[in-house]
Amino acid sequence: MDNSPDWLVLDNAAKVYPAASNRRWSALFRLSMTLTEAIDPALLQQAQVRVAPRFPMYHTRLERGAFWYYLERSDENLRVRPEGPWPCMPLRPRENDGYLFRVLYYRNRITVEFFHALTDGSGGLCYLKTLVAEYLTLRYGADIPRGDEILDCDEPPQPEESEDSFFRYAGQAGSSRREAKAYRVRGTLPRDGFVTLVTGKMPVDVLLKKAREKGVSLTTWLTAVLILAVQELQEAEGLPRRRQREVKINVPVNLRKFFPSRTLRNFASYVNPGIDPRVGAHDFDEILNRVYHFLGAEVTPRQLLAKFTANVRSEQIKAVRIMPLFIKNFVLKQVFLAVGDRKSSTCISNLGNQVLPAEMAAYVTDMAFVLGPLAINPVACSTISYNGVLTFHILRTIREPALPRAFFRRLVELGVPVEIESNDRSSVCRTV
Amino acid sequence: MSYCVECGVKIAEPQESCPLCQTPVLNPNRTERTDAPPPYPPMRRLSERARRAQRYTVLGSLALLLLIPACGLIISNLTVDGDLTWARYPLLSIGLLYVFLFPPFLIRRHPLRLCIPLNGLAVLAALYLINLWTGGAWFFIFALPVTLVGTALVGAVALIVRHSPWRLLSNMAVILASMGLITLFVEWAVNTAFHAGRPILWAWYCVAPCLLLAAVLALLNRNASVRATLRKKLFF
Repeated sequence: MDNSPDWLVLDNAAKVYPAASNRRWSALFRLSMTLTEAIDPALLQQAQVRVAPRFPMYHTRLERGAFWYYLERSDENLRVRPEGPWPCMPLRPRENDGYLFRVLYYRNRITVEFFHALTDGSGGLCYLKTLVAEYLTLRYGADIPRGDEILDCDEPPQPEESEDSFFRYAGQAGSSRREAKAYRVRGTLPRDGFVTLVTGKMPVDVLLKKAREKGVSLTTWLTAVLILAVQELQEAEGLPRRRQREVKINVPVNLRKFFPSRTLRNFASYVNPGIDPRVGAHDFDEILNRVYHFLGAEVTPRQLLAKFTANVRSEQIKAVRIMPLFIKNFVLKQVFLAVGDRKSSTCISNLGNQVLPAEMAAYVTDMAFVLGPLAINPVACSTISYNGVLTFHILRTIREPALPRAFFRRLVELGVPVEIESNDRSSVCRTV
Repeated sequence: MSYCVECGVKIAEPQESCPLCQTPVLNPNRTERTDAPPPYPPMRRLSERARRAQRYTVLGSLALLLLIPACGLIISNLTVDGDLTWARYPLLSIGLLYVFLFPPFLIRRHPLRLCIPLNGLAVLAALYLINLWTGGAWFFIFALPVTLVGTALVGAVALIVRHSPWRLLSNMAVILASMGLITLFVEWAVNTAFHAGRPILWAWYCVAPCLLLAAVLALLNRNASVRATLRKKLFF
C-alpha cells in the first residue's frame, strides 16, 4: 500500500531552483537510453503509467506556500511526448501536465528530462532505468532483475527514498562559501535560444590508460583537459595576465558515496578545482597535479559535510523561515546569481560507468547524460560511460564552438580517438 | 565515416561539416549520401505563408481588443452627456494608435518609407482636429511647421540608420545630433509663433550636450580597438 505523503517540502538543494528559474531558463538535465529498435509510444506510455506509483516524489506539482514552495502529489497522467530539436528545452509545467519532468522518445531513444528541484542525476538515472526496464518487459517480455538501481514497481515506495538527506546528515558548523569569481566563456546568443550540443564518443579503455599513466582518476584527468582548454580560450582573448581570472570547473559530487542514503531526491554537492592564470600559463601536468590534490583535500566526508551544513543552517535561520515567499524568491535569486555559476568557468558532471543487467543490456545500445543550460555560464559539460564508450556532451547556448573545439582537439593531441556528432542547425532545420 | 582535417576527430554520419570548426567533410571514397538519421528531430520552421497568416491573426485580435476602450468611451460619453464631447480626445489617441501600430506590419514593401510620412500625416490631422475643436489658432503657425520638420528629420534619420554602411556608434551620433537640431527648431518655432523677438534660450541646454555626445561617439567610432572593447564590455 502506498503510504507516501500528499505533499513534500523541497529538499535543501532544490529550494533555490524555483526562485532562480524563469520563462526562458530552468535547471534541467537529460538522461536517455538508445534501444535496438524503434520506440513504441503506446507501450512507453503504459510503462510510464506502471512506473508512476513507485516514484511518488516525482509525480508532483510545484505549488506556492506563503513561505516556501512545496511539491504536491498529482495523479494526472504524464503523457510521453516526441523529442524537440534540442535537449533540455525550457520546461513549462502547464504544458507538461503540471509535472516537473518529462518523458520523451525519438526513433530508438527513450529520454527523461528532470527539473533539478526534483532530483539529481542519480535519482533521474534510477527512474530512467526502471522506466526502460518496464518498457522492455512490456515490449519483449524481458525478465529484468530488480534492486536498488532498477526498482520493482510492484513494491510500495519506501519513506527513505523521499527523505531530505541533507537534513539527516547536517552537522553543527558550516564552511564559508566565499570564493573568487572565475573566468567566463563569452559568445553570441542566438535570437531563437537554440542550444547546440556537441557529443564526443571515446573508448573508455584508452581514457583509463591515459589517466592511470598519470596516477589519477578519469574525472580528474578530464577536468584537467577541460581546464587546459578554458585556459587556452582566456589566453586567446589577449588580456594582460594580471587582469585574467581564475579558471575553475564545477565538479558535482554524489554524496551517497560518502553518506549512506537511499534518497531519490537531490543529494549532491560540488567542488570547484582550478588554476590561477595570473601566476602564469599552466601546462597539462601542472593542472593535473593541482586538480588531483584539490579533489583529494576537498572531496572528503568532513569537507563535504561542512559545505552542505552551511546551506542547511541558512535555511533554518528563523528570519529566513518567516520571510514571505515573494521576498525569499528575490533574495534567493540574488544569492544564486552571486554565488552560483559565477564561481566556475563551466561544469563537468560525470555519472560514471553504468552497468546494466545482461537481460537489459541486450536491448540497450547507448546511454547519454546531458546537463541543461546553466544560468550564467554558456557552456556545460556532462559525461557518462556505457558499454566501453565514454560519451562526453558539451552543451552551449552561444554560437561559437570555441570551447568544444579546444577541448576535443586537446584530447586528440593527447592520443584519444574522438568521434563527434552534433545537433547543429544544418542537420536539424526543416521548413514546414 | 570521415575525419576532420583540422581537428583530427572522427565525424559521425550524417554531419556534412565538422561541428567544431565547420570544415566541410570531403571524402572522395564516399560516392553517395548516407541516409543516417540526424541525432535530433528536425526543427520545424514556419513557411512564409504560415507566418503571414499567424501575423494577421494576431493583428486582427489586437485591433478588436483596442475597440473595447473605444466603445467604452463612446457609450459613457453618450449616456452621460448625450453627445460626443470629451470622449473625442481619447478616441483620437486610439485612432493614432491604430495608425502607428498596424501599417508597419501590413505594408510589405518599404514599410519604413511609407509609415513615417503616414504617421506624420496622422499626427497633423489629429492636431488640426484638436485645434478646430478647441477654437485655437496655433495649427498653421506652430503645429504644421514643427510636425513637418520633425517628420522629415525622423524619416531622414531612419533612412540613414537603416541603409548607411556606418556602425552603431555613428548611427547613435546621427540620432543625437538630430535630437539637438529638432530642439533648436522647436524653440525657434515657439518664439516665432507666440513670443516674437525672443532669442533662443533653453534649447542650447539640450543642443550642446547632444552635439558634444555625438562628437564623442563619432570619435570613439574611429578607433577599432576602442570599438572592440566597447562591444565586449557592453555585450548582453
